[in-house]
Amino acid sequence: MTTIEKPADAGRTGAEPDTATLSPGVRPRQRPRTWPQIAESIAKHAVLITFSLVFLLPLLWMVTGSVKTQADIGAFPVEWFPDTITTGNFTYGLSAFPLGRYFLNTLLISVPSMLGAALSSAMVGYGVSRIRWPWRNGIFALLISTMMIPFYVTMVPLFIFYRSIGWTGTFLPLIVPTFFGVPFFIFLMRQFFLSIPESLSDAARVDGASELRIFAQVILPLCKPALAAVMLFQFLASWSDLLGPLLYLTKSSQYTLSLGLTFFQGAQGESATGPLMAVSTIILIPVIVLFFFAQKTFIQGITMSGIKD
Amino acid sequence: MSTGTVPHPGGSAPVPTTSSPRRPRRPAGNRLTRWIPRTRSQRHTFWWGLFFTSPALIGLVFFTGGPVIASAVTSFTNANLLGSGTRRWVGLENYATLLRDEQWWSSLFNTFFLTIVSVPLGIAVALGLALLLNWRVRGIGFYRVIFYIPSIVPVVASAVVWAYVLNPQYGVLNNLLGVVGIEGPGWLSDPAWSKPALILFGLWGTGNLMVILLAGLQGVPQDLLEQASLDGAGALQRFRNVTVPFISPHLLFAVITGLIAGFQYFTPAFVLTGGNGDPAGSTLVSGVYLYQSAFFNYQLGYASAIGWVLFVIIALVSIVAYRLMGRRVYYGGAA
Amino acid sequence: MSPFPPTRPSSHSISRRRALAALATGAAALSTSACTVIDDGAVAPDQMDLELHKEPAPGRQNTIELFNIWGGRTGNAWVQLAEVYEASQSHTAVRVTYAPMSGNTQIRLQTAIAAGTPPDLAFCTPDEYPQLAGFGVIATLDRYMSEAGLAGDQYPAAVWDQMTKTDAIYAHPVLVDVNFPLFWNKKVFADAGLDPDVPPATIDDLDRMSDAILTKGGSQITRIGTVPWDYYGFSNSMYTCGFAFGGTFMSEDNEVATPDHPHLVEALTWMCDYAERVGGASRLAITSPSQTLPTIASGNLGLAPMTTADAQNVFLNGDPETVDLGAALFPYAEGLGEPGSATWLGGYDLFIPEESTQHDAAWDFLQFATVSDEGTMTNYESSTLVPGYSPSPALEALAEDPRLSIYHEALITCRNIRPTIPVSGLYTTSLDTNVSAAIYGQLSPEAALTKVADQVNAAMDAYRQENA
Repeated sequence: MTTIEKPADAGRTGAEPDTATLSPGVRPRQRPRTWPQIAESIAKHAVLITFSLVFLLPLLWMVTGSVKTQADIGAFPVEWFPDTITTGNFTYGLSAFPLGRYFLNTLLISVPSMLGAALSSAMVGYGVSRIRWPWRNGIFALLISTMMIPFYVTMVPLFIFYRSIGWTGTFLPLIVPTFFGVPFFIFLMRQFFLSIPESLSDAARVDGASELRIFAQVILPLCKPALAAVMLFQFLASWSDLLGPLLYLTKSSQYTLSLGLTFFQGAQGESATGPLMAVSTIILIPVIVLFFFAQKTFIQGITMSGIKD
Repeated sequence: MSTGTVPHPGGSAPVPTTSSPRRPRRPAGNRLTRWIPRTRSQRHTFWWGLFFTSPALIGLVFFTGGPVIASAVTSFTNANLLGSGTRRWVGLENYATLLRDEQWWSSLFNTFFLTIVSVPLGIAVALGLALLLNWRVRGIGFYRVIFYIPSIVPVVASAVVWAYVLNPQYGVLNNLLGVVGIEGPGWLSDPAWSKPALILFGLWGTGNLMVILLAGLQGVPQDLLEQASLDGAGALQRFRNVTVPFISPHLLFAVITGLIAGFQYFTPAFVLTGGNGDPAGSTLVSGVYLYQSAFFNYQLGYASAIGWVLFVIIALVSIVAYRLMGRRVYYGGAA
Repeated sequence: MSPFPPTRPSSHSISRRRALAALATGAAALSTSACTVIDDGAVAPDQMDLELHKEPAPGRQNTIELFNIWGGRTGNAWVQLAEVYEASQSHTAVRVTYAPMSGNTQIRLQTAIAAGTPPDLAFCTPDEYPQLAGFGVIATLDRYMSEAGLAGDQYPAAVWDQMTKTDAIYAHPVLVDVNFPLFWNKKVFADAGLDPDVPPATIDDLDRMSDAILTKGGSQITRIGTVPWDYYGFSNSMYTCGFAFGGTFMSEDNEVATPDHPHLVEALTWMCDYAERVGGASRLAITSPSQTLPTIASGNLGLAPMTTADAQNVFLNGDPETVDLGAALFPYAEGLGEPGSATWLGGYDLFIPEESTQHDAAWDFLQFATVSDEGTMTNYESSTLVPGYSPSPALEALAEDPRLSIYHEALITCRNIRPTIPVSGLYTTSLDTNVSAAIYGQLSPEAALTKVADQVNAAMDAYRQENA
């Protein structure tokens, strides 16, 4: 029969191929002992650092651009490390629009959307994967098919609908739909749910647990990486969305950061690139912090190992 | 098999033939009644199913359904974007025009080209990066942040960086190629190389898929990998016979969502090449052509027809992909 | 506070602390290294403190709304204008709503009109209004115009011509871009052995100077005379060169599109030959990737047509070591065009959406913005926006500006407009695609332009059928 370990501990007991000793509750950490192991570690870092350089390029451009003078930004070939550094881009960039207000507005949209998307998509994903009912695949297919319709053909009717229920000029069109399941995330959650042995649910059912309890206490804790990914993606999507706020928000006191960024793009030939880069750099920080916490759930063995079938 | 306690899919392990391994127990009876729960326990399960999917069902009815139907109807009318004038039923006229529209055919070609090349390539690169980021080395969290950065930097900033990277003369890329004695092409200013340039740009921002696959890799049982290693399997064999089966649900997800996104390709073409399909129409993809028809030419009916043809293409391709891949996907729950 | 508070005990958090320390060390090293740190030089002082959005003054009889589509200094101009307007009278307040463009389209405005809730005033390009008027979403201005005594003799010829291309007047120019005077870089001229003070008068001159300026590194072009297909996109390049060759894009009665006009074919042939002569459009490598200054400021480009804002940007921010601008009217093709014939009108109009409920109040502000001394001068002073109204003192001021007077000359002599027809959007996109195909050698100039003619005339026919 099946032994279910407490899911919270499940991830900590996976055997580690590379490490000799492990104590539960501590993240396994490689401590090179022999010369080949040290060499392997160095090689791995070398590969990672090489790729890092490629991926850091835009950030480097943004960060250095944020402290360059107007003249240096225009320099060609690009001056990656300018002789003169200015703080003016930040001074101007931070005073060009009410950053605090827009930051708050963006959070007021992103955080509820993130929670709504995670909660609803997990629920629906569960309903189309782990419950054996006849509509399961039909509903799943229907939801996926809504992703296949290009957004721009439904944009105008959707706007007219929101207008008719009086939601334009509020945050509601940007938040509420996420509470009704996002097909992309539903699909993602479904794939993760399906990877978990059915015997786990069956055992809980035998013990008299309701589906809701199995969902919340048995299955969901095993899908933390997926949940983290969903939350991260939705936060990022809401955080950087430009079209939604542009269409639905009417008062300047409601504007978001991505709308604020467009302030720096004037008519032809008057873009304020330096301040744009300065503010872009600043508003990147919350996303990086969020990503850092999300990726911490990506630890090998958290979902599967230790679950004996 | 020595590891009898965990599911061991193996490379060609027998896997259920349908895409969803736990086939619902179908009640005896004709095809109609199987959609309706009959016994008490079936009803019980049915209500739970309805309960869990209710958010999406309500959302479909209230938010998605109306606009979707409206746009489908619009594709059979002469409607303009601004919704004024007389809206007339034109039957299949928009679709007939589409078949004669040279530009639409070329946009379709560009779309297929980009999708066919970039989806497998994107998945391969994302998987490669995810494998790197799954290494257990010190500071891996920071590497993960760095690898993800291209996906969070505002597109405006990325576009400027890539204009520099792809610059034929001073660009990073051509300078690197020059080191190995290759004279790089004009990239975005060359119709033959503009699509590869867009694909490169896409690969570099593959962070979201990388994150999904990285999350998927957490489900690969370490003890199984270790066992395989003890059994004498090499790295490649372990990857093929243990890792791939366990992340196959995520690969299926990557392929399907990749196809859906690929056929709706829009933002990079809009940002990097100005939304006109420059140079010489080589980056005019269906999504951009749809946008042009709706928002430059105000032909909402025509644009909707483009959208719905795209829908049919995506649906067909997705179904084929699902059928082809679905039977090879291993769901841990099946064991 | 540490951004990553340690949540787990032991060794794990040490590496993170170490990494943070490393970051801090790096930052410190950067700040103490050889570079100078200053607090200015970031942006031009006139770009500070921009408001793009404005709440209406309280307690007025009318409140109207204007959609502002620009950021930066130009966007701020409308807020300033609204403030001056509110101070000038006591009955109408103006809300300026920031609604930036998405690419080249005003998606917010389009959606608002479709939903039946347009603003009271909005912008459109001067060739765009017949299309909007055709859909019945613009209110006519004829009654207001005649009540205000505004008539053809008060407008530069091309401006009035463009305003009256349809059955009624639907839109009024509020800022006129004269496309385009040609600027040349005297530094490049001198370096190439050309007289730095003599601009090209004809297309032949331009060819001759380009040959002198052209420099190649390997098979890549590193310095070029001019890029005739890069005058703000393929369609705008075609307009400029086409007019320089004396071509016309519409028939006399404005009913038939004539992109296959023989002079236009010659113009495109010249552009294609030029591309071939320099080794192909795909080998061009002179474009600056930084996008903060026009390419001519890099010293890799000898001559380029420029908008007012771009020219000013180079004058203000260009490095005097690499760029020293001269300005002239765009050259013409001898025997085909005439001196100054290349110039055409761009810019933006204001219009009143049909479904706005405040037509009278909207007109009052429109009139203030477009023809009043105070309104036009406010726009000119805040953001060098040029009015399309001859009596305005702003045009005098433009004529007296030593750097920008060329735009005044071009405006007065301008005879051409872009096709101002109900399918102007399609005309432009079709030109973009097919001219670019010709430049890259995929279509012959004649075939490309014939294709445009077919597409546009088919669309015109469909439009006429729809609106018979």
